[in-house]
Amino acid sequence: MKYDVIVVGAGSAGCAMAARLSEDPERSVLLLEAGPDYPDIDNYPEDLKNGYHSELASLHDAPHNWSFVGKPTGDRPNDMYAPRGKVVGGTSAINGQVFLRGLPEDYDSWAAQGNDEWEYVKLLPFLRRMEADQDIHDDFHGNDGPMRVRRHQEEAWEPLMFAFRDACVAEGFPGGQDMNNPDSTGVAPLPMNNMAGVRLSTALSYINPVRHRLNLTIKPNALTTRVLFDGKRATGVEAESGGETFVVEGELIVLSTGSIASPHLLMVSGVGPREHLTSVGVPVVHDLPGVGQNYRDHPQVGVAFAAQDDFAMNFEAPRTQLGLRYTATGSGLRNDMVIFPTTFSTPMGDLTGPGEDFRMSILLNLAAGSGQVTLASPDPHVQPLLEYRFLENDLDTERLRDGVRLVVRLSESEPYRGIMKERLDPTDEDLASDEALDAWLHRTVRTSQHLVGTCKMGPASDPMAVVDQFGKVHGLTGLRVADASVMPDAPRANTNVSTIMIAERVSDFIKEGR
Amino acid sequence: MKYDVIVIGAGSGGCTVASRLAEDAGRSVLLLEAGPDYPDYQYYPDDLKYGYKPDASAQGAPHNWTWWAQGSADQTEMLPAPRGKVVGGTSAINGQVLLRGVPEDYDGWASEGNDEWSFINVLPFLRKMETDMDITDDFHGNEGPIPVRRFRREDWLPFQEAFVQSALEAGYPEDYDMNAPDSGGVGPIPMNNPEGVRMSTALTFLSAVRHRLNLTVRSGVMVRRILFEGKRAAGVEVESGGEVYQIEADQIVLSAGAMASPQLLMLSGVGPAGHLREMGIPVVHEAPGVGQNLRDHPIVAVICQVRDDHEQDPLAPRTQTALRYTATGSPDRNDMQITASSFSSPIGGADPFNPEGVRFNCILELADGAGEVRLSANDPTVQPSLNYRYLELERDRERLRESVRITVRLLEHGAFGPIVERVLQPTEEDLASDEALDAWMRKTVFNTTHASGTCKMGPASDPTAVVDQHLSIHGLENIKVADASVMPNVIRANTNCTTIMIGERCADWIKSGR
Repeated sequence: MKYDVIVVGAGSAGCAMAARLSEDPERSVLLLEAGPDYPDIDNYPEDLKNGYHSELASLHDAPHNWSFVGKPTGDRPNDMYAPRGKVVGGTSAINGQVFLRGLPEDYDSWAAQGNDEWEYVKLLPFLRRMEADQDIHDDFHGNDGPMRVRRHQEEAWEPLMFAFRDACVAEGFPGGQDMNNPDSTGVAPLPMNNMAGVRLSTALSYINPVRHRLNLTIKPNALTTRVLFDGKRATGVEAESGGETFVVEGELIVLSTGSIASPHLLMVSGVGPREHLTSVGVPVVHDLPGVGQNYRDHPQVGVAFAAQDDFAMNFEAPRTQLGLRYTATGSGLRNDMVIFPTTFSTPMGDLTGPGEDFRMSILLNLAAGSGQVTLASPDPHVQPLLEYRFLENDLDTERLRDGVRLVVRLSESEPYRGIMKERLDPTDEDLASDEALDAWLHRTVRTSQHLVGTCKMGPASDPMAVVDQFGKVHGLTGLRVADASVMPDAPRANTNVSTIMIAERVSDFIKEGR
Repeated sequence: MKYDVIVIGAGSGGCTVASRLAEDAGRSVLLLEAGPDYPDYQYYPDDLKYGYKPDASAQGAPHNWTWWAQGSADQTEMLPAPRGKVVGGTSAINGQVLLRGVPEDYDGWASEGNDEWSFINVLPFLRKMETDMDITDDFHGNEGPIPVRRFRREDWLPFQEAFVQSALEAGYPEDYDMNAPDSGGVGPIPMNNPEGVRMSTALTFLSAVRHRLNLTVRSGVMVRRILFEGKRAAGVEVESGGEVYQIEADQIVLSAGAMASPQLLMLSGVGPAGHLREMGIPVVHEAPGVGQNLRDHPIVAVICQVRDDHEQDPLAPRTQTALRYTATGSPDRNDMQITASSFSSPIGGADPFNPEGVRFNCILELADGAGEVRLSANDPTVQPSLNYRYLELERDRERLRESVRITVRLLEHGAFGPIVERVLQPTEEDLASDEALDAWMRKTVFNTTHASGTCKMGPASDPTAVVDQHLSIHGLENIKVADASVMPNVIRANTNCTTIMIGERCADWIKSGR
């Protein structure tokens, strides 16, 4: 059995990739996913469906979560939860449903690094064709695509959202702009791919409408354990299904397993930094020093509050409705910071525990630092080592520190009077000095689950580039990567949109034979 | 897109063929089914799951093709001809009797030029399919996918107990093991429904191999025609989700059943040339036997009103026991069967829970008469014309008359006293003469949904043979038929077991290159 294309990983990118490639009935496409599949919407699990209770799906050990762990900083243990979706739909099936584009400058900076196909003006058609914006009809938005996008209108805002908006505006930030407009900034309702509370993953939006295609085969519960090579040519994959091992051949293999599993799969297959592979005992097929490097995310801290006793918390509400994007003082990187206020919250990793009522999360949207993904074992079943190396760069620490102080200021401003009873974390002692606050940041910084960069694209002249700008792995044939791992740097936005866009873009390259 | 094997129809034959062929990881198998698929047992529909209730086969039921057939020439209304439309096929909606034909059935096929099909040659395959939970000996299998059991006497409902008592006292032998080659008489029926769950070929054969990456199961796919290049079958044209696809294969296996297999062949240009021309279908290959020799088991029902104090449970098992005997003067052993149904609802009625009383089913297991399947339109979505031509032969009527009279005699037994109030049909007038009884039978005869024979196997010297004994269609290449349609003659048993056996043999021959 030989397919024209094998897409490994049915996540944000893989589902979009398989759906687009199978538009041509002459192209046979196999979509492999380690997690389960729920083709019948009537039986779609509640944790995946209910987007307002987003923690149901991303909680550690939740049924459709790989439940990885990682090491956030050099000082902290390797026990930070790193959720990744394990289901057809991937992380788009367990995420927070923020459907935010990167800034034009993000994509233009990729282009400036030798990837001229990725400048914003060239990507805009793909950003448009993926979406059906329910609110905005203009040149920047799509209205016919598979992903439905909407914003919470003011009449649906929770009281905390009004307080946040008003506090931000009072602080001098502009309000009410369209966050997917290229020039926007300030506080505004988030574009979300969530309709009536249902999380519209790429499984529901891209795959369900094309499941009838006879040239598209979806195989869930099949763990791809290796890419198989004949010399420098990828010929197929080895996958485990139902306790048995199978070999499936493909003319083209597309890895869409995400920023953790794509470099992981490459490395266990012998593609990666030679010395590292050799030290772990993996025979080297092809030396590519960039595989697993440039591990980027949006470092995040949360400021937690208790509400006034008579302020009613609505636990059924959507958790996040608004966001504030702003440029850190003196950074020169527009919108390099974002703050997400919650409508209610429980302590991280705990759905039920008392202890906090609401939170504001501060994300460093364009961190200078990066970490790495390395093999812990040559065994494909063993999770790789995830080193985030957060806050090793002073610029990162400084911006996050300022973000915390901004949140503290917002929470103590007039609009929060009658709502905020006390700040629980960080404490006044933590805020007393930059040193104390830095210590708190180092203790509490965590992932935003916006992992990118570990198979970054770039020209062959860049020794750290893993794929060229068409997604082809340098030095190999028959193998492409199309997921968040190819981003040279993090976009200043939640990563789902950009990841889907990458699949849209690379699927076109494949169709065009580029 | 080219598969090694495409199996058309995921019923008793097709699930078996596809599952066995997929055991070899090097062979790619596509199993096509027009109905839906329920791979997750958690969501398996109740109508398919619970075998005691006959609602799955009611006309208009969700997984029934709801076809109609002409029974006898004297009938003005069409008979229901239920066929399963779901992965599992009719094995997913049937009465769960797993009864083998008598050895003489298979030996009869062999004597018509199909020596591979003698009882001694098919026995290993009858054993291979089953795990008999009651009997361990040379004639029964204990490692196969289909579980088989019999109701224990203590679990028989009162009507079943009375029936067995009356038959034993009438001199029929006790028959505990109806699948033993020499058996006959009255006893519990072998059934594939432990705990009341109908163990279709989907739940048994297919469930065991669904994980295999070389097996692709596609539901909701309607095969429109088989594509030929000259005399070589090259693929199929299908409709799925409103789109038409063509898929290639090295080998086509047609397992659409005794009604749809000849229909699909004729739609594809294989069949009686005159009929094809009259339907406007270009003749690919003339095969006069296609659609001819439609066999089934004609059945008439003796229906009784029950006493007011006899409780009936519509959810209890309806048929637990049967009597097999040889008609007076007949050379064909066990050519008659009488079953007792503890709960009877009007035949062909839409509501199988509408209480009517109890019923004896008098079944002609080896009728001489045969009918035909013809196209009613050059359109795969229009059911073919089904004409059983029941009871046109005096020998068939004579044997069925005797069966009715035997039943009426059995009813005189005292064991029925607490149960039966009076006989509703046939009336005293119907029983008054052979002519009156014939008229009643020709009015009320119906089918047992054991359609078979419409693509019968036989040597090339037999002009009405459609397939050879290795199930390859005479005069064509790369296409086999594996379902009840290949039976040269109807078997003296419910057809599911033998149809599965045919699937087992077909897979074995494809594996060995025959």
